[in-house]
Amino acid sequence: MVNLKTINIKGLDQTLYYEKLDNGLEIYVVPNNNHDNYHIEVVTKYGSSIKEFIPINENNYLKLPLGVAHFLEHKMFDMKDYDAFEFYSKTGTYINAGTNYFYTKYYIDGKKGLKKNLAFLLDMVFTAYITEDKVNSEKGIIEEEIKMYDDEADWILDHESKKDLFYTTVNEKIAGTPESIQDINADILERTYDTFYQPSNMFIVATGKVNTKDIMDIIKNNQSLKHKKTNNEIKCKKVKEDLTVQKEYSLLEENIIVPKLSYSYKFDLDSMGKDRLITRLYLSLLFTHLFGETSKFNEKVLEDNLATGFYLDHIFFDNIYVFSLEAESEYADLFKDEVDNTLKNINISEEDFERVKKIWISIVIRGLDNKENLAYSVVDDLVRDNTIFDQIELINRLNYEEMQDIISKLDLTNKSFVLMVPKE
Amino acid sequence: MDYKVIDKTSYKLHLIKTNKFKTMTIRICFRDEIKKDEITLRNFLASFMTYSTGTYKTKRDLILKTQDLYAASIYNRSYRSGRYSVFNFYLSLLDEKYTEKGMLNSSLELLSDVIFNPNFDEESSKEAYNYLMETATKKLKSVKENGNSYSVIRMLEEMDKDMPYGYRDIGYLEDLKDITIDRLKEYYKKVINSSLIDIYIIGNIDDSIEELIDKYFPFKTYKHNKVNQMINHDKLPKKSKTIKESDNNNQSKLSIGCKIDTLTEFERNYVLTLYNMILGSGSESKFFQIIREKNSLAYYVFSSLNKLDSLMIIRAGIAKENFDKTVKLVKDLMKEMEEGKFTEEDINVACENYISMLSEIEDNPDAIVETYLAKDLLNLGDIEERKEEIKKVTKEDIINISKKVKIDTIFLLEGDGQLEND
Repeated sequence: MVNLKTINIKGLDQTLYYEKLDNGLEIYVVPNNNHDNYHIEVVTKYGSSIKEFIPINENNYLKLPLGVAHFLEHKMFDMKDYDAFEFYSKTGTYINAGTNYFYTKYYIDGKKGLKKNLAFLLDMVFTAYITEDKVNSEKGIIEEEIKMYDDEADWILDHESKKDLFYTTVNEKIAGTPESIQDINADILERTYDTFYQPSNMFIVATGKVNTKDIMDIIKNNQSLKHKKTNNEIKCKKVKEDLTVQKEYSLLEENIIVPKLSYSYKFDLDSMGKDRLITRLYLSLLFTHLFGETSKFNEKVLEDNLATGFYLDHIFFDNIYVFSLEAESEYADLFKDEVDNTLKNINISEEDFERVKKIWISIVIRGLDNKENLAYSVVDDLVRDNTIFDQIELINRLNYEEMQDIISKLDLTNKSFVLMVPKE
Repeated sequence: MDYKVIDKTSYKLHLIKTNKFKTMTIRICFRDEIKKDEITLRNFLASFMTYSTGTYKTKRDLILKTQDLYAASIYNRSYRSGRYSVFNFYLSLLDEKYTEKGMLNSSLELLSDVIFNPNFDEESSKEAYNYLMETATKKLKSVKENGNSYSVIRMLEEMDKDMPYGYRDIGYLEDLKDITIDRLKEYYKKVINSSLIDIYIIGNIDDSIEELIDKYFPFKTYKHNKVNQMINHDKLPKKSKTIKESDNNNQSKLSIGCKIDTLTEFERNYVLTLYNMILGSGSESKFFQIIREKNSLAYYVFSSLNKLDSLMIIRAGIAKENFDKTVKLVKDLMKEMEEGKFTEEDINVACENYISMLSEIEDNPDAIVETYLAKDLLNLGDIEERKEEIKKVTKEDIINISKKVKIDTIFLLEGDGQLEND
């Protein structure tokens, strides 16, 4: 195993070990002996944003009904001769999984039986046991899961906002709808599985109390027993997201007391003269300063009672970056005007700029204490940015002059507003 | 990990020395008997104190100061625990070796300002007052928005609205109008002077910490008799009652409240825990296996314990038409526990899960502090002891305890099942 990176600023001593197997599977280990437990994730770079692709060994595009990635995640827990939950419960090991737009991950948290538990996880994820019967019985469960979310106003607001902002990629619900999941069957799931759950499209991250050599040996041993296809190029239908928004304004009525709003600006990360990741960091820093807890905007909102609470969010993919503000407000229009006002009069001092950097670095250091958090950052950085363990370095690299340059190139044309009001 | 508790008369100082974490956490805990008509006021006071102080009169000033301290964080959390209300202030900061010398001192000074120097000046606290009044109003008006938790709140109210567990933790809308700066000031004095106070510190601490605490937290409480924090039920219900309320959710939210008879310490701390796990907590539980996996009736269905209330609460998100079927299954599965229809394997699995959960605690500073609190309240041993004690639970113990758990109130927040069309 190679020592890929070490963070050793300010007395930190965190090392990342890496190896790539012959079949393309990559392994990342960040041991921390101050922990009592281990945390291991197996990840496939396949999420709900992929809607059309050519299945392995086929020639034509397959268009997926909504919710396949998430459905497949549920099905991975079915195994022919074993029950995954039952197996892990014997050692009190926690197992769970999650699907987002860009990847699906399966993870275990435990103290005992690392070797057996990791081997089982690999077997679980690298074999698919999908029957029509089991697929049908899962539909009822997933339907209830979808309905549970559909009852939440914040969820509804978020979904509408994404529908209005985007044409592709993140514009549809990850779990699908009760209707769309009816169109999912064993055949679709198998063909999707065979294509995306190849070792060369996947990687493993281990954090917490882990022995690097043990991890490597277990994985190598497990993989050598499999005859997985490797390094096959996966052909997904290329989508190009338009810079404009689908809809500039939507009005919803729901069972709420105080109106909610979501106001978003859409930016092109290729239009400001720097690479996408750096541009994103600058934008993120800028919006934290402009709309965060110590901002003038926040002061104005409090003084004039423009909202009873708001928070910042962002989403990005390819060259697209969207910054959003979600708020609860009786004065939605005034709130919106104040956002526009702030963006038309951008002001950031060098002191403010450096302060945000200092805070970010503190947050990164804290994050290293939490093995789940750390694994999450590693996974997310790898899939979304193809970088690893670079955060502190990247943050330190940001400078005030470049920030000013980015500000001068901001294009505020593309925006979308969703207002949710109480039902009559 | 080294633990030391020092009785300072006005408060207890708990020192947990460990170098496992990059942060230090200080938690100051004020406990007092909960009074229904003080809940809203108490919640308001907690938020008020972390919003504006004599030195940092606006939220912005306060946040800027924490940012200067390398993103230290100060926050409050209030909740009910049995007959008591627990009011907490937390300070979390990075170890000085990652920041710079003097940060610990400055951070403690800031926390001290929050606790001993609240801003009750009418003029300069106006922003805080108005903002918090708005947010509290909105939060209390929107209580129905989260169907899952609203269903539990309503069920407990229907169970016993005059018992502390029947009180709303978030407070009452009608109480807001009576909150004035003067009332906050009076109530603050009561909290500072007559609560049971515990200070917990966890991190890479050295002996100088005691001096710092003496300096920055000069509590002087006066003692008076306190009631028992734990709630026991005089009698168990012979029959359960069912209440339904409709709402415009898609999904119906079911909450079932069960009362638990008087238990020994061992039963409460260990037997009950395993009973709950086998019945309804986790993927191997009867609820998960039968109600979710076998019958596809729910995505979430689980039971949880409020040990200090002697209650067990069962929750599920279901379709309206499956109410009768789900309730019947819950009753059948509880009966199965009484009849001993579970295996030694089930007990082992639950034991392993419990032991794992204890292990996870050791990786989280907040969770570690919480166990020391629980230790005092429930007379629990330390983590290693607990891992040993749990193995002493027998099948017979679990069967006996099953008979002590009785369904009292069944509440359904009925959805209309109408899905919004996209």
